[in-house]
Amino acid sequence: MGLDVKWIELPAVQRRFLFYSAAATLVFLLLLLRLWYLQVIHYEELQERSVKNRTRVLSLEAPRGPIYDRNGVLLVDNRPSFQISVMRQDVENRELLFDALSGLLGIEKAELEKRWDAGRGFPIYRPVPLATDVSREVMEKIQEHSVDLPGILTEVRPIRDYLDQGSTAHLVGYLGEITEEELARKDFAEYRAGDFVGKTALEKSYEDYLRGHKGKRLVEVDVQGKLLRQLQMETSSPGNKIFLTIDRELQRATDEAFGDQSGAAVAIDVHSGEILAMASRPTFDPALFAKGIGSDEWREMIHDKRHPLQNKVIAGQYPPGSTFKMIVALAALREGVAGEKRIVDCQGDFEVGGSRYRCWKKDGHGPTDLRKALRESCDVWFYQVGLELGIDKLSQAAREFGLGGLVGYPLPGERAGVIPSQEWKRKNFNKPWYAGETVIASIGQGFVLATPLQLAVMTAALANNGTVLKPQVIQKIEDWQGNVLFDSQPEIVRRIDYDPQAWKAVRDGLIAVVNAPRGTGHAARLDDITVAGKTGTSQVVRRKSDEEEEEEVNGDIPYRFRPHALFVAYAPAEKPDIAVAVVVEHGQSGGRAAGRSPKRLFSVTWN
Amino acid sequence: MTFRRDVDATLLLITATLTCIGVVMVYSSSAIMAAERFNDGFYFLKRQLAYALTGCLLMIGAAYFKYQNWRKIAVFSLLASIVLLSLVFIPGLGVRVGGAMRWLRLPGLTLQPAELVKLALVLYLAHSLTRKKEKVRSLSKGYLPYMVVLGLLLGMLLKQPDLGSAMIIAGVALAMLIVAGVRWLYILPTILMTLPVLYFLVMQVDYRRRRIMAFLDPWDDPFDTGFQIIQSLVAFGKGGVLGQGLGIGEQKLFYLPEAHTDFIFSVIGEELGLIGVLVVAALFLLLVLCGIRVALLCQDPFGRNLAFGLSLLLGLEAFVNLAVCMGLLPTKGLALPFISYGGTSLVVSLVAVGILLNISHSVGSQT
Repeated sequence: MGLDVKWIELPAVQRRFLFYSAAATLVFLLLLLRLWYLQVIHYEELQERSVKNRTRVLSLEAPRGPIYDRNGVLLVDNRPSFQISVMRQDVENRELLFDALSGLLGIEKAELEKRWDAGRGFPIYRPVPLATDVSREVMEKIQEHSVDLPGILTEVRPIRDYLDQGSTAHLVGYLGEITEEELARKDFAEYRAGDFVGKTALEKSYEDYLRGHKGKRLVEVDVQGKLLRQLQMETSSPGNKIFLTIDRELQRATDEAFGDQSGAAVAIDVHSGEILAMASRPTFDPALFAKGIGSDEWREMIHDKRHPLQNKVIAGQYPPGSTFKMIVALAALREGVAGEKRIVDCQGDFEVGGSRYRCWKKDGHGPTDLRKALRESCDVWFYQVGLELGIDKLSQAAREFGLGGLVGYPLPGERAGVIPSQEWKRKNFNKPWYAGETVIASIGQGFVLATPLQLAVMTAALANNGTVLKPQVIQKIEDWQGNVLFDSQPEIVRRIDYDPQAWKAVRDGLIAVVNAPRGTGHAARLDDITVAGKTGTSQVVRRKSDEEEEEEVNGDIPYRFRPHALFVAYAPAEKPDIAVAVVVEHGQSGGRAAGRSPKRLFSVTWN
Repeated sequence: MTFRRDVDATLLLITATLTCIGVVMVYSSSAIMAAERFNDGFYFLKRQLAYALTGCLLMIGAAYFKYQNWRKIAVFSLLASIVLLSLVFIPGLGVRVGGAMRWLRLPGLTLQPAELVKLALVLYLAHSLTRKKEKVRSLSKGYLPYMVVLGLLLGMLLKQPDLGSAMIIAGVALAMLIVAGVRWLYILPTILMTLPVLYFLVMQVDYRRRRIMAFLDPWDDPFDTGFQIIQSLVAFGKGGVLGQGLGIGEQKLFYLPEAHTDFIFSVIGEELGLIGVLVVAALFLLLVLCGIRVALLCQDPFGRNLAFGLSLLLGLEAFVNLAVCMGLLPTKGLALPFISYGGTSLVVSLVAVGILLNISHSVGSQT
């Protein structure tokens, strides 16, 4: 690249260029000197520095947002937990380390090996957790022995703390370690392996609101991994606070009313659609998931016949039984099929198409009008009126009340239930509709299925003169500094129009159910406020083979064939505020088994 | 004719080597970070490869685009790049990264307008200085108008704030003016006048003052402000003569921030050692010398100014970046041309080489 031109001969411009070339070369030589200085002369000094350079970036976990009830009572919070992790690059003899650690932690060596291997995909400088949520004593023992345990770290990690003993477990959901599939997704870009994320229900759907922003700490450590000092820190910011529409006192009362029975209960505010209490029994302990659930515990939970993980309020589909009769009565009044004074003579059974359908009362109710039919839950009155009404009109009325379709529960998992019609049957079974099917649909049996939440929305619409409301579970979301991010507003799904006389007739019937002599819902009666309600007992479908298998023992029906007990209610009857729906699985009789729950709930509310 | 082929081949070879080193080092320095953040170790590699391909196509285009034609769009391109630069301040279009508004988000791509401004300014100055000929020696017709344009650009860059780009632009502009014959009589007082302003700009802004202080004595506060410089020096020290080996470096893991962008040269220092670093620095020197030689031999004043401006631009950027990494200059936030991760910088640098190739070609056909 030599420039074979003579300097003197060059014009001024070209001389300047030569000057720049020389300057550039000089600059290069300067850089070369510096490099020589850094990489050759000071090599050892800097090398030594890099060995001492045991700085480490620790991620500061952001506390997950707490969850409160509607009155600001804390339901789910975080507590510090101690986690023992290992920095693999600092471990020289794994065997020796695990020998010492196994005794201190009380964990088998093989299990420790397994957990070490689980972190194989982690970058080498990331600690691998060996034991989560260890006691303070164990943590202190580990720290005492830290000189003999090179590479072992004790970390403090916030862990979910359930102050309500899991009574809102189905609503809130649980956390679990982030999966590889989740990590790969764009919306989880800020997460790392080992993080806990919401897996179900509220924790999952509101993950973005609940998780905070992680901070970082740059620390200097000695050879044992002991923290010498903090160098830099970027604080984390906690997640947002979520206020549920749940009232903890009502929730507790609803829960306790079940005892050890299984089923579901839900109470909603008839003005706003806010869910004040929702219990699904049996429940589970979300704390088990918070520290990482064992595979045995998990297997046991998913194989439990009583389905503890299912939220039966939204996903349990039951025949509504006699609670459905209020819809039949309203539809009959609107369509002019039967007036309030329509008398049907109940002799204990009813015949159509060559089949006989029984009333629950073998001897019959005698001459019965609408009010008596509701009060004493006479089946024959409804068989007759339902048959005259026809399945399609009945189905339309039921759908208007929110049955047979999603009611709009704001979290995932809701099921739609079934409200049959002629077309529905043709579509699903490719068969014509039979009159007998209308008869049993009129008492909420046969194909008819509803979730407890649908029954509560239906009852609320009866109580508030026909406004079907979307159920709400989140009242408010605030950031950690108290700024309101979300404030719930009632959402009206539709208004149903009925004659005021019709509303009154059915409501009077429901007041009689609880308060009049011979009413089937006495169990829910209260002295100081008037409760209106309707009982229901719904047959559990038996298949033929089942019947052959299991004989009735001592006249008792086997548990799994006992009928479900239902109760829907609202109060105060004069000016309703709260509507409730309760299903006690295999509870036998609606009045007795399911009536307790609304009674407890209402008495807690108005005391 | 052999001459032309020589220059073409040398320039092209240097550029290709630097770009390839860049792609490899971007992968090496970002893989672990990318795997952790995006769960895709190839995240930055894939993007850098795409930028390199785009840049190469544009470079070939520029090499076949008669360089005299740039004169027709020189003024327009400067105006356009000023508009883009001002769009950065519009919320929604401008992207704020670490307190600075340097990026522009357009549908489908993110741009760093400052990089475009550098190229546009060189085009404009080469064109305008050629047109004015001897008038450049006058104060009112030659010197002052340039100072107005330069002042406007520097003002906008400092607003972002992007002090590093502002200094590069000022340096390249002044050097081009001097080569074109503007009198030292005007330039020296200007430089003297800006010194207090520069001092004020640096000392007024807390992070810049701390950077300067940290630069003067990094070990005084080794864990806060001096952190970047020390970690960069440690990287060179660990590399030694032969380096730790490609991909083996540890400083990039989290000791060294911006390992795949501003401090990629330190990663080269650690992984490829003195030898690797010397090769890269020598390639940049050769690139500048090639460029200056093109300028020297070009008979057309516009081509000469342009070739000089472009080589100076690439050379100065490379020098400042290298010097920052080695602790010779305070930290600036500038990319290393061809090597650092970043689309705009890579594409603009490759286009600059394309223009140089075309000028060189025309020189060859003259002889």
